[in-house]
Amino acid sequence: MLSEQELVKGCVQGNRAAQKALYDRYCRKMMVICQRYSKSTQEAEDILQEGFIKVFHSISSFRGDARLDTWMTRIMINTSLNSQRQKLYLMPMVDVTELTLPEEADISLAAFNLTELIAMIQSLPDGCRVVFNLFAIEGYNHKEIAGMLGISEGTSKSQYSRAKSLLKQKLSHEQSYGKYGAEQV
Amino acid sequence: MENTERNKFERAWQDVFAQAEQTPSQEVWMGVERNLAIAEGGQMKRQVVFYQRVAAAAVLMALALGAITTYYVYTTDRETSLAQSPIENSTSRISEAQRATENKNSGNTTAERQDTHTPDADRSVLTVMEEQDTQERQDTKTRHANVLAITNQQHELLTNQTRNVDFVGLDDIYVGVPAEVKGKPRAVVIVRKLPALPATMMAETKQKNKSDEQLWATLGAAAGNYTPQVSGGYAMNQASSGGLSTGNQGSSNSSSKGNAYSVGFNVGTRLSDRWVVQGGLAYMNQAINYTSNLAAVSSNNQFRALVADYALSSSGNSVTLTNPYELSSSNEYVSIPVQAGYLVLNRKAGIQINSGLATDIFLRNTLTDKSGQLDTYSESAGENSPYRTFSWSALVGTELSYRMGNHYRVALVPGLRYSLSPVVKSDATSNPLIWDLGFRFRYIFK
Repeated sequence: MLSEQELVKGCVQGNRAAQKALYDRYCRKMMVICQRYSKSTQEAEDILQEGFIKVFHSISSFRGDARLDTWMTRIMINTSLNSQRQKLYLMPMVDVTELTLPEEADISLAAFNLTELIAMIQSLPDGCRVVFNLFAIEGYNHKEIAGMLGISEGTSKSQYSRAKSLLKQKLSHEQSYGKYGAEQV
Repeated sequence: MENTERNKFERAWQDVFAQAEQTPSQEVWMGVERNLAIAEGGQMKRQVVFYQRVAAAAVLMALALGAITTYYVYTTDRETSLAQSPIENSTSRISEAQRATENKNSGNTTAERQDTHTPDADRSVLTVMEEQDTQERQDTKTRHANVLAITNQQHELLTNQTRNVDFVGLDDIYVGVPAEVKGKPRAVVIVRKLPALPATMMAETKQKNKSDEQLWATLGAAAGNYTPQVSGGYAMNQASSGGLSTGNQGSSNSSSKGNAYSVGFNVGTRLSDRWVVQGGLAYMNQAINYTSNLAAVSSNNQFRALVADYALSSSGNSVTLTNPYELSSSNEYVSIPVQAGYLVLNRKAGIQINSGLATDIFLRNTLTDKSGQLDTYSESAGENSPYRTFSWSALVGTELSYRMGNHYRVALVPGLRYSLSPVVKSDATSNPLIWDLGFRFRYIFK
């Protein structure tokens, strides 16, 4: 098995076998990232393809400061944001008063499999989905998100609150009524 | 409390996706591979385009150089052939004599051979061999004598072209004009035209360069070799009385090569993505050394340096003969060049092929005696000048440039200038040829 450094070197040289090996090693992890930012699997695969093309074109600029998968994740996120940007412009995010969420019982995600959770995220509105991913999963703060998306910090907060509210409702609903609509006893 | 809950909520999601993996369909890699192949193909095409253009430029330059060199050598050969024609006539006579002798010897040899094989000849093989040896020694002596005779005779023919010569026995002797001065076919350059590229292959480059380097001004200077292309040795059969020379023939012979330099400026603009046009103004100086035995006599009886060009012109100079002396002849021109250029490479480093015409306006000719004994003579353009006021030159050159910042580009410019029209009124072959190397500094306005 080739080391990360050997993979990078091979990709820089345009070695197709090295490119394939790199893809095989990281495509599954990157696929999940793309799925979180997209509305469907098809859209996620389009983003994944575009992201890997960017990776191979710009791999010569990878200096090894960070881990390769971290660097690739950043590329995938940027690619996802670029693909979402047009939608975000078409549906501008409005600044709303920050919602105060009602206190609820803890909701465990353990009861859900990965596909179900991805489906819940994909069901969020575009703006909410992007902000939720950046804030909750990638760990950016609202100021950074505002800079990345060209929106105000307040908008980012409100979008996140909305996303959180919607997800809690979905999780609560799924827990209460089950995956097939039957109320859990 | 909320903050804690938020953190718990986010951590839960982060934990879920930390090691999450989903397998994409095979079509994703196929798409990636297809795109990479296209990109690599495009890169290869760009490389091919680059090398094709460099090759085209090299072929173009080689063709131009070949044509000019061939023309130059042909012209020189022709002049040399004309000058050598008496020798050729003489040598043809020698050749005729040689052929006659060969026939004669051939006849003798045949007769001898027949004698040897006649049954009536009762001679031993040894006797025959001795006779053959004797005959060979005699032939060798005859050849040596003929060599001396021919060498002497050739010398006489070269010095006195009216003497007739008869020779015999010219075996193994090379007589004729040296091969290097004979008109021989030169190397033939076969140019293979490179195929033009479809516009789609160059679309990216076109778009990139569309708004770049549209207008610029250039300051430049160049220096190089100057070949006057005149036959030299202008002779004047008669000079005015009071000459100081020992002979009765005035002449001035120029060196085969002189020096030339020029300074000037250009303004250029881009016509299309690859084509540019530039024109400007330049001062040119072309200097060459002469040996002359002519001098001009001014009204106050001062002697001034002079060459036969002036003696042959209707300048009205009073000319006298002197002892041969060295002088420098310097021609000054103002040139107005207009050139079209093709950008072979237009990046930070640039290669541009230029070709065009220049209108040369003669300013003055200055003759300076190197010993300082005779006064300097200077003649401007005009009716009395032996030089034409206007002449036209063909220009071919290459700009090898490098861009420095947004507004500057420096370039080395090897070039060639050939005068299409004679610069001397009395000589239709006075078409100077200049090879030079220039340096240009370009300021890019936009």
